[in-house]
Amino acid sequence: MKRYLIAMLLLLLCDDNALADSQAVQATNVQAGFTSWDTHSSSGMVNNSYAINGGITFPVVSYLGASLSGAFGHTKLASNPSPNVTPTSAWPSCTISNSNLDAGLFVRDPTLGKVGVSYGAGRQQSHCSATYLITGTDTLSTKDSTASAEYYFSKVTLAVARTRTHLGSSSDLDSNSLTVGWYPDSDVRVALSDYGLDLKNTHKLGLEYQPEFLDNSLSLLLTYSTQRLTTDTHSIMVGFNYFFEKHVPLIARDRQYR
Amino acid sequence: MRFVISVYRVILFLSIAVLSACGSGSGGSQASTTASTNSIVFSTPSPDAPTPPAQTFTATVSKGTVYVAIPHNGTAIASASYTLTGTTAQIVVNPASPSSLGAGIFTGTVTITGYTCADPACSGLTPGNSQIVNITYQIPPIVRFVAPYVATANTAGTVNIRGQGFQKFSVTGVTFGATAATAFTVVSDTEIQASYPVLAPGSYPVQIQAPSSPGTIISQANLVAVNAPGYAATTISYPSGSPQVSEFLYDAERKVLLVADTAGGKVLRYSFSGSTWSSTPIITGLSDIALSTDGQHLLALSQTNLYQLTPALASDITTPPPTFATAGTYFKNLAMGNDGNAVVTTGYAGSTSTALYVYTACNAINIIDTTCIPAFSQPATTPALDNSTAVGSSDGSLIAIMQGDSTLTSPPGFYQYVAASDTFSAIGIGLNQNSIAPALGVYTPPSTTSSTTATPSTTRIVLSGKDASNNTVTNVYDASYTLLGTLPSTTLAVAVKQDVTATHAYAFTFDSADSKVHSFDVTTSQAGAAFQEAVPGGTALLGNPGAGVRMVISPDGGTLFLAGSTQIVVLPSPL
Repeated sequence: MKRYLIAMLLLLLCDDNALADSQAVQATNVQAGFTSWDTHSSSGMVNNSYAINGGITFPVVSYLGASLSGAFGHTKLASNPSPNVTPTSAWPSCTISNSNLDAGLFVRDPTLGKVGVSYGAGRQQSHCSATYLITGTDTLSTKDSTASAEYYFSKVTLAVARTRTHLGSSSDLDSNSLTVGWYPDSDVRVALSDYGLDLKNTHKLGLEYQPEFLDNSLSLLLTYSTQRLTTDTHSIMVGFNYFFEKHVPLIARDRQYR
Repeated sequence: MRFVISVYRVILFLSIAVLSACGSGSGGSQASTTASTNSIVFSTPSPDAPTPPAQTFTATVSKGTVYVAIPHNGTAIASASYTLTGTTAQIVVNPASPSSLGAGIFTGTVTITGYTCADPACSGLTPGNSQIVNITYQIPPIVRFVAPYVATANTAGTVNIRGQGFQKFSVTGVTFGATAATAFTVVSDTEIQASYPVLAPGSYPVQIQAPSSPGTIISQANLVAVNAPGYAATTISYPSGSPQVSEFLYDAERKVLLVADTAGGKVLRYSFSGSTWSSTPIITGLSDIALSTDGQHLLALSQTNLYQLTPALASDITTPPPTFATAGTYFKNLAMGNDGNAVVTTGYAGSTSTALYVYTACNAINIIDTTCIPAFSQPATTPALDNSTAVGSSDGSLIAIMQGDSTLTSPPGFYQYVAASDTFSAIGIGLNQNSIAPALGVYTPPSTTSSTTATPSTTRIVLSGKDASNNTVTNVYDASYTLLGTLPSTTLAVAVKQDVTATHAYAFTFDSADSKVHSFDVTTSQAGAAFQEAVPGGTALLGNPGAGVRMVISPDGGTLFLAGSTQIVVLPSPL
């Protein structure tokens, strides 16, 4: 966390006059979305998940923006049964519901980049014969804090983030991420992400497309991610976001509105 | 301006560099799960045995695990529970009850999986490796009954073997003691028809050979071969009083006659060995008796209870009735099937439909579950009938159920119970029952591997009652309930037999007109017309049995017994 504070101090060295000519958030951006993803592991496990989410980003002062977001999701964890099980078609499975809320503050120059912090709280509830080891119950509460930075260079965005998540009250999860995003078109973003620390060997390739023929009000999401450890897992996610009111190109939305 | 922008770029790069610096995280871990075993086997002697005890194993997950799921599937498992201490789970697996599964080999799995967080905020989970513990549950087949359980010595014959698991495991042979069956057919998972050769007098344990059975096959069935009694014509006086005979049985194994005397409230027992009489204490409301499928119990039915007595009439088990839906309902009548179940009918003071029940008796030789508790049940097909009367065939495969009341103006329907499927069904025959009990002679063809056997069935079912025209009729039907012909309307009691070759069927009637026994060859259909007597003029008895006559025939078909209010009359079979 000390590094996060050092980063923020560096930001404070910035002369706010230099940013006075650029708005951190040009106008309030409100969006809602839906995602669905499947995860398969080499050990025969299958997860099927879906989530609905919503968020709002709004200006605070000229160079300072804020965001609020929330999500609710449902996951079915299933295992491929032994072929000799009676009956053979039964898949042992568990379901989990989860929800989370996040709030963030950031400083942004749309021509330069963005630095921010956020804080979130989440909850998972299991609905089967299962236990969260940290709590010894079928429920897990989480609190996470993230520091992030983005650099805009032409049609490329370089982003880093550091997250610490408190699991229950006694365990922490730390992760780093590095993401390189590229806009081959003003309405298309391709992003490659890599994670470290407790999420080591996790990689993600994502695509977001905001069709102009839909009046830039909807974006379509496709993501593939993989984690290679003792067992390999692969996930495919599809989804969409709907944007209320402001209909701007995707690159503009990412750098000026959300 | 360019200088200012450059300064900010440098600051932003420094911010990114600080955030990108490696930290002190654990360096990437994934849930790793191990289990103390990868298989568990349950076994039990038979589907009738108690449920085996639960088994326990442990599973351990790695320190990076956030979430542990332990689901199970498969019919072998009734439930699986666990307790978690740190990263170790102790898992208890409870098997399903053998009676719910039947015979067979059943499987299941318990899967232990540890999960880690899938994203930085831990809003999702990523599975680690799974440990699957395979569950196997082995339940061998069982032989429960052989029916009829009494055979005539030195005469080949055919029996139904009842049990469970006959199709789950390939049956390669049937034996009666050390003697192999001459032929057998696996009819269903619960029934085998087997033919035996001539057997000397004695008791023969009935067993099946199924090499793929996972354990020793328990058999509770014994075939008892007895010499044909060859009784001479005689009369037997009651020890006292004038019984009102509601049921009359011949116990061929023990050479005993059993009379249900509803007037005296006693079961009377006459033994040919020593020519002695004995009786039960008073059973208030006594209404019927029947020998259990294995002959090791005498079931005595009163209006309020069902008693399982020993063959010597000592009390063994008493079962109170279920709660009757209609107030004023009472137990009326019972008949035994070849599966250890009895059909129990109920009555009512008046004409109304009341429930029927199936009573599951306990085997006398219950070597599996010594805590057996008899029970009443109602299969889905159980009808509600009007003061119904049930009579079973000698082999227990079929029970005929008549109903009706003298106040009815139109005849109610006839029902049957098929023991092989444990089902009741309505047969499209309308007869209002009278005092003459049905008589059934079920023909079981010899087992053969040929599917082209043309041996005709000589199963004959005799039903008496008032038809739609209010005429008293005594009709003879075949196995499909096709009307073959009629017997005299003056008939008071009926008995049916097949000859030793099973190619002919005969019916014997006790006639009110001349108090004689009349004999009829009912092999060939008369297209609904009257059968002609095979012994013209009938056969006289040494004495008149009296009122309320019931007639039975010995298993070898050689002797008729008639019991009425005056005495018991014994008559060698005229045919």
